[in-house]
Formats: sequence, C-alpha cells, structure tokens
Amino acid sequence: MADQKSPAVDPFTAWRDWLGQAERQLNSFFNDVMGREQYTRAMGQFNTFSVNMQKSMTETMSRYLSSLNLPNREDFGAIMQRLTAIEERLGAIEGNNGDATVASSASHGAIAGTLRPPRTKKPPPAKGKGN
Amino acid sequence: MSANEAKADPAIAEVVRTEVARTIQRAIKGVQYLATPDPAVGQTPKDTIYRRGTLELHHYRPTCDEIYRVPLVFVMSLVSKAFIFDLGPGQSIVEFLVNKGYDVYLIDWGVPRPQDSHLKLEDYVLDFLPACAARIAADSGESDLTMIGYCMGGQLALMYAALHPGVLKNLVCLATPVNAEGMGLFRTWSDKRYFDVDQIVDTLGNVPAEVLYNSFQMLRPVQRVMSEIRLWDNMWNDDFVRSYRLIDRWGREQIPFPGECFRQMTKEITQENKLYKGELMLGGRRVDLHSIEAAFLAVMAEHDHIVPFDSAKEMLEMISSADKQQVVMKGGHVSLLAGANASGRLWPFLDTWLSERSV
Repeated sequence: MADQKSPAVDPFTAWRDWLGQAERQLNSFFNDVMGREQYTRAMGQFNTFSVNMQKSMTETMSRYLSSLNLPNREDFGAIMQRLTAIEERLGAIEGNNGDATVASSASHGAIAGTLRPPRTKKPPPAKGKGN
Repeated sequence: MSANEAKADPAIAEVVRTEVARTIQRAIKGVQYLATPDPAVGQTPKDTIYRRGTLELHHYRPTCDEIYRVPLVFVMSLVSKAFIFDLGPGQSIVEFLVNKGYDVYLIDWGVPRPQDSHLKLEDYVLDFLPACAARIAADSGESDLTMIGYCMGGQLALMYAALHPGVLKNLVCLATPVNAEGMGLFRTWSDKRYFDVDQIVDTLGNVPAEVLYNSFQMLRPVQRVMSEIRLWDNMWNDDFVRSYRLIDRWGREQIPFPGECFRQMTKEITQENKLYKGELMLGGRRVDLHSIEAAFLAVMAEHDHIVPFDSAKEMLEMISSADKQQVVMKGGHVSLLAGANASGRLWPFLDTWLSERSV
C-alpha cells in the first residue's frame, strides 16, 4: 500500500532502533567492566578514601563550630532525638484515643471519620477458564 | 526503477512532514516542560490513620458501593519513596485497586532522619509491621490481611510472614529477591574483601541518598543519557512526557537508607545470603520461609536489572503454602509496577488473583 511506511525509507525509525541497540551494547560493555574484581577493588578504595575525607572534614568542622560556640550536627541530633521521643509519646496518646474511638463506634472505619461500604463484594464470574 | 521510487517518494514526504511537525511541537512543548514543575504525585484520596516517627500508614478512601472483605496493605522498600504505588491519576496501582473494590492501605516509611540510623530489620519486621497490621485490623474490623511488598518491601513482608505465621491470608511479592547469589553486580560490589560497610555506617550513620542513586545508575550507566534523548524524541507526545516525568521524579527522589539496617542487609542478606539459607535471626528467632502458609504470589519482571530473575527463581520451593504461584511478566523493575505496561499486565492479573482470595 502507498500509505504503508517502509522502515527502509524512514531514517528516524532506523535511528531509534540504533539508539536502542547502542544502549544495550554500551550497558553490556560497562557491566562487563564493572563486574571485574579490579573494578570492585578500585570502587572499595574510592569509598574508603571518600568516607575518610568526610570523617576528617566532619571532625574539623565540629572543632571549628565548637570554637565559635555554635551547635554542631551531634547537638542537633540530640535535640532531634528528644523531639522524636515527644513525637512517639504523642503518637502513643493518639493511638490510645484511636483505640477508644474504635471501641466506642458502632462500625469500623470511624477513625478517619468516614463510614465504609459493606465488605460484601464478590469476585466477578470467571471468563472462560479459572485462574 | 521508477515504480519503486514512485512509491517511496510519498512515504518519504510523509515521514519528513511528520518529523517537521514533531520538531515544532518538541520546541514548543520543550519550553513548557522546562517552565512547569514536576507533576503532583500521590493524589488518590486517603487518610493517615497511624504515625510513628517518619512512618505513616495511609488508608485510601473506597470509591465502590461494596468492597472485598480482606483489606490489603502495600509495603514499600526502604530504598525509595512510596509514591511509586500512587504516581498519578491513571498511573496508580492504588487507584486501580481502590476502583476495583479493594480496601487499600499503604505503609510509607518516610525519609529516615539522622536519628533513625539505629533502626534495624528487627524494628521493621518485629515492631513497625505488626503495629501497622494491628492498626489495620482495628480500622477495618477484619483479622485477615493481604500484604503486597515491592522489592525490599517484599523481603520485609516475607520476614514478617515467616515470623508471624497465620497472620496473613495472602502474600504478594513484586520484584523481590531472596537469593543474593543471583543479585549480579550488587553482589559483586558488596564483596566483603573490598566493601567496608562498617566504615560507611560508623562514619556516615544513614547511607546518603546520592550513594544509593549512583549505585542504581551504575547498573545501567548509559540509561540516563539515553532516556533523556528519548524524552526529547517524544517531547511532542503529552502522555509519554507525563509518564516520564512521574517515573523520573520517583527515580530522582532517592532517600537515605537507615545505617544499621543497611549494615544488616549488606552483611547478612547480601554477603552471607542468610535469608535464602534460612539462617537469618531476628529478635532471637530464625526467619524460616518454609513457615509461610499464606496464599502466595511472586511476580518478577523479565528485564529487571536490579532484581534479576535468578535472585527469585527458587522462591516457590522455599514457601510451604499450598496455594502458590510465580509469574514472570514483560517489563523492567519499575515498569512492572507503574506506567502504561503495568496497567495492561500486572494490575489486571493482580486483580484476578486477589479477587478470589479477598472474600
């Protein structure tokens, strides 16, 4: 048919196909390289180096902040921990209130303030064959 | 000579005409793309019925006149945000199941804070999941429950089911690995001779989101560049762009991993393969997948580069359930669950499987 596109005359389709193939081949190539023990060892060394760098920076920054009488990350962490403890206690209080709501309500689903439809739905009849 | 050329000319002209029109559209819509924010996610109406630290348990509001008896809960991985279950209207497995008459809950672990670095697998499996299950039972009035875990969320669900036999009626694991031997490059990279997980966790606390993001990107090093080329190529297509932006947003919004849990996952699950060997101990109890008797479904993706089929192929043999099934579907790790492919493959399959087991 005249309106049927032939892949041979559509350079854009050919380009898209090439793109997909190139992606697969490049990924496969890099995966081969990254699967080698030398790569894993180099990655481990890089991780160790960057973590050590970060550790020494943190210590230096901590000393600097301390000399300026400013709170460091650990100080904020301590405050956050206290806030978390307060949140957990609030959660426990809310939980107790929720339980009381459930116990006193005639129908479940009242926690969210909405009534739920009945739990009576049945699966639709099987089409042709069973699962 | 001329007969073929006479046929080819109108075809070439049509191709060129289409490409010129698309190029104009790409320019216009490309500007719109840059000028507009990421699309909103997680829009299916819901109520948060339980909070604890960063954990939130959501209940989705039913839309049907009657619902199935057994509620179901989605369990997310600790690696990514939970909105992959509810990307946007028409792109959400949660919305799909709610509209099919299921009573849907979702456990969103949230974004771990520095003070959450002490959280371990025991906290998730023996504390948070049972607390959520109890809250769902109180909210729904049903003691039966279906749990659906995705990726590492499936591993948490497996551990929970193994340590709480009889609690779950149905268990569904989507793209969930059990055998670390089949985890490909992740397994290679976590070789204990070269990967010092103790140093990372002791120094950093939580594992930074960038580290995890880069690890996933390294599995397919050229995927990012190629997907941006494909985005430009399809910029004229609103549906493609919307779907791309939703999934791209999810991929970019990586979250940190709680440090102690990462240490456990790396040493015990990946390096020593204890979940597969039945040697994993949580709270002094052995996690034995043979003790799982709930109706069980495992779904894997054929082209999953993060959780290859090899890491899950023996899962059925490890589960004692009389009613168990494993299927492999076309797609990758994300397209198995979200996007146009999932809406035509996994979602209707899951609906059929669940409907018979949710009454």
